[in-house]
Amino acid sequence: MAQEYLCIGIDIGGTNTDAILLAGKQIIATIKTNTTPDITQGVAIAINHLLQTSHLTAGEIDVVVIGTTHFVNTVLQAKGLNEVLVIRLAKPATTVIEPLADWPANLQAAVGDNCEVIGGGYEYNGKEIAPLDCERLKELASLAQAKLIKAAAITGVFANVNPAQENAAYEILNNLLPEMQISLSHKIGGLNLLTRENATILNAALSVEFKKFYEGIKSAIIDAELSQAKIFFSSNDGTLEEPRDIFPIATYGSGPSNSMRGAAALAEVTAAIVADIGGTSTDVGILKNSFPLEAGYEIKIGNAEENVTCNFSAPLTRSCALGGGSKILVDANNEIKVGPESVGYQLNKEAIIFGGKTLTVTDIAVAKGRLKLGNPAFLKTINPLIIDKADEFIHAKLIEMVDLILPFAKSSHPLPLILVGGGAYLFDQQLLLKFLAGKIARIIVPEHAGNANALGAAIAKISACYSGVFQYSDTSDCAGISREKAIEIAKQQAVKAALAKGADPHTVKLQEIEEMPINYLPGNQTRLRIKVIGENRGDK
Amino acid sequence: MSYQLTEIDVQDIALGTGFLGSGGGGDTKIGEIITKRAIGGGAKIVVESLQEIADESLVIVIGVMGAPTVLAEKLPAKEEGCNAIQKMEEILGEKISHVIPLEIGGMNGLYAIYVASQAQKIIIDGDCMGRAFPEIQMVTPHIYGEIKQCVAVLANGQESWALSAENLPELELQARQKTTEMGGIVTLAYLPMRGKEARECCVPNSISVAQKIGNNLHAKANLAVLHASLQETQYTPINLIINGKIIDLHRKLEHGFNKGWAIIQALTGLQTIRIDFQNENLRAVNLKTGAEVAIVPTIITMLDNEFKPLSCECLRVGLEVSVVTLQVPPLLRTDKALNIVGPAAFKLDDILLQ
Repeated sequence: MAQEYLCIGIDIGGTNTDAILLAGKQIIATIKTNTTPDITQGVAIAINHLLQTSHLTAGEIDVVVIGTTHFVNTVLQAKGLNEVLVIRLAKPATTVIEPLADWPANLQAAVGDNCEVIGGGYEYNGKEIAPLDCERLKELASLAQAKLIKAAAITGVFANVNPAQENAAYEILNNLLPEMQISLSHKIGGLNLLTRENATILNAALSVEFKKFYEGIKSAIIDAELSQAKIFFSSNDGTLEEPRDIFPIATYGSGPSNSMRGAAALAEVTAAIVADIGGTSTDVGILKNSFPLEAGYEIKIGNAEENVTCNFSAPLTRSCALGGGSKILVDANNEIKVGPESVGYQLNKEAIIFGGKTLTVTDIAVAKGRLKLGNPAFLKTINPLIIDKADEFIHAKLIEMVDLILPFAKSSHPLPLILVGGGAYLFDQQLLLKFLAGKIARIIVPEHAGNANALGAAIAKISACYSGVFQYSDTSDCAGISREKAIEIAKQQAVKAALAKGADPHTVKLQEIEEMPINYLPGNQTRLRIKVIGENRGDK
Repeated sequence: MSYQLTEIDVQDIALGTGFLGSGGGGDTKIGEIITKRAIGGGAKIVVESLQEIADESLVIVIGVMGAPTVLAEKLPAKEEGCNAIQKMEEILGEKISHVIPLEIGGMNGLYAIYVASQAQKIIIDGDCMGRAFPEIQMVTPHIYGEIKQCVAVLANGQESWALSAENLPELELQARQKTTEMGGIVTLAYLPMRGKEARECCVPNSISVAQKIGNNLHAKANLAVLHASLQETQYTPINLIINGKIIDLHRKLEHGFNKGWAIIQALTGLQTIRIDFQNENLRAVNLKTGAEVAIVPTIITMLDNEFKPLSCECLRVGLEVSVVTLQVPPLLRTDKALNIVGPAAFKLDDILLQ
């Protein structure tokens, strides 16, 4: 076994920290433990458990992959976001919409009112709209210092065509305020000022929390003497990033992405509807050709009513506040309300079956005999009518979510429904199947369903980028090379980099082509960026 | 007949204008944000129908001109719309009373509404294209009207620039070149006309039609609902061409336009479709048979997995899309109209030479 590639996948959720140890593709050990406020403790418990049950030593572990929904929760609750100095380099252009204009009030309040559009920015051809207003930038830096603002987001018009002003602004701020966490838009997203600016501001607003989070993980890893293992984060598109390259905003979609790919691996299917039922919420998504189906060209970060639009890709999901810890409230008329509040990691204290006082979704599943947990005798005090009503509601809710997502699958035949997550065992499968007859082929609750997220992180793919400037030949001028040839060369370079990072050569394929004509240089020059992804080869 | 817009109406118009954009006219999100904020800030936006407008009113056409890829980065300056109207009033020596959108498709429908609210003009429920087209002579006043004053004002955050020409195609050439010099995107004010002329040669009810489509779709967005919504309008029938994935995409900025093509491979089966665009999607070609599946002036709109209409600048390789076509109203399909907005008016094969 020692010759095999050993990987630990850790998924840090709001309620639970799940972890899994893989030798090649084989599952050696799993654990689910509470997420602790300092992150460190939960991660340390998980790692120690995996090493103990597998009788492996820390030195043998090759890779640790971290997946997390931590920052999703931070935005959802608008809690833990830091204030941000928001600067747009654009004046006199773009003033019709100032930064944060389309943000909901709760998130606007969290990042504070420290926005300004200052002189700067580029035209599409790389010519300056205006020179960078260094004087105003310095004034804003001292204002930020006085207000103890710890992060800044800088977005310049056409910064992707010419990043020089953003970089210059970084130098000025960094010289004045070396402690400031500075996010530059050209490193975060592609063309589209508003959505790139939104992502940059959110990234900056998460940067203080992210630093704390990463320190927490690092100290758990050092304590477990895993320092020789390579550490990766899993990102929105399910690929691995090294910690120095990762932006907090790039972990945003990793939760559903990991649970869906984990579900695919556990159930050994390539196409399915996947429901990930956690402690507080349920995410439903679509698996297609073994990959999560992507949402549209932009995603909304936050909840259904309060969100911010950003322009990166993430899995298409529908979510609701239904999980194993969801509280069930009963009013005087015996009407029930399930969620959105959850007892979260306090389930083993607050749920009725554990002698607590709160009726939860888990209690209902125990009362119905589907789950053996705690002491079912405590449930005798609960009116059976309430239990029936709650049970009906829980199933109706999941069926509603599946109905919502089904049209997006565009499948000619019914797909299986895979249930994963800690709450996968809460449902009556026959009942679900009865109501989803004709729409769903079958229901799968795979072994290790509770650790699908961690598995998804552990089997995350390898990605690599290559970016270079090419002179395309056009019809009249034979200088340079054809576009097809340029793409081929760039792709070869990207594939080479992916293989060096451990990708399986048979699975590497083109993921993204981005072309940015550089009109300010003579000739038909284009900045070409190619991204390839592939499965982890899983050897040493 | 005349009515006041609410923020909900604006949301509906944004979605409806997206469908009518044929991939062009800019991302409707921009128009939605600025118009909602204007209403939130206390602006009263009254929409008047072409039937109601007084014969002697002075109407001006407002839109953003240039490449939508540039617009996605370089948003307008707050005051440039008002500056353009003011400069036009100086040229005409008369106060303008009404604004009509250049095109209902894309962000220009809402942008004209926004500029009207800022300049305190009345907005007309209509437009000059019935969808979106790339060039400023592709308008119904050119098809059915008589252009008396061929003048235009182009404005950005730095300057407002006046132009005049012998005819609209010449005005397009001049304005396109000047737009490129001014950074690739400007606010355009042109085609001053009387209320009576507007009634005779503009497309009626465009704003309320877009609003109706958007309103129906906000409840539940799918092809059947879109089909039903369009049946109440003249934009029918609708056809689904392909459910597929963008596997190649080429675009470039040329002479002030976004030009390029996207290749879409079917999710199931072997069909592959190429969509050619010049700001707007103009032609859909079946690559296997070489047959033209759809061509301008038919509206060709791509929808993402969330059923949101996509403007061309939002496309990327790997994105899953459904391509639908919408028939345009009869007004845009007469022989007279096809001379100006039909396939012969475009150099479609030039798009491929890159």
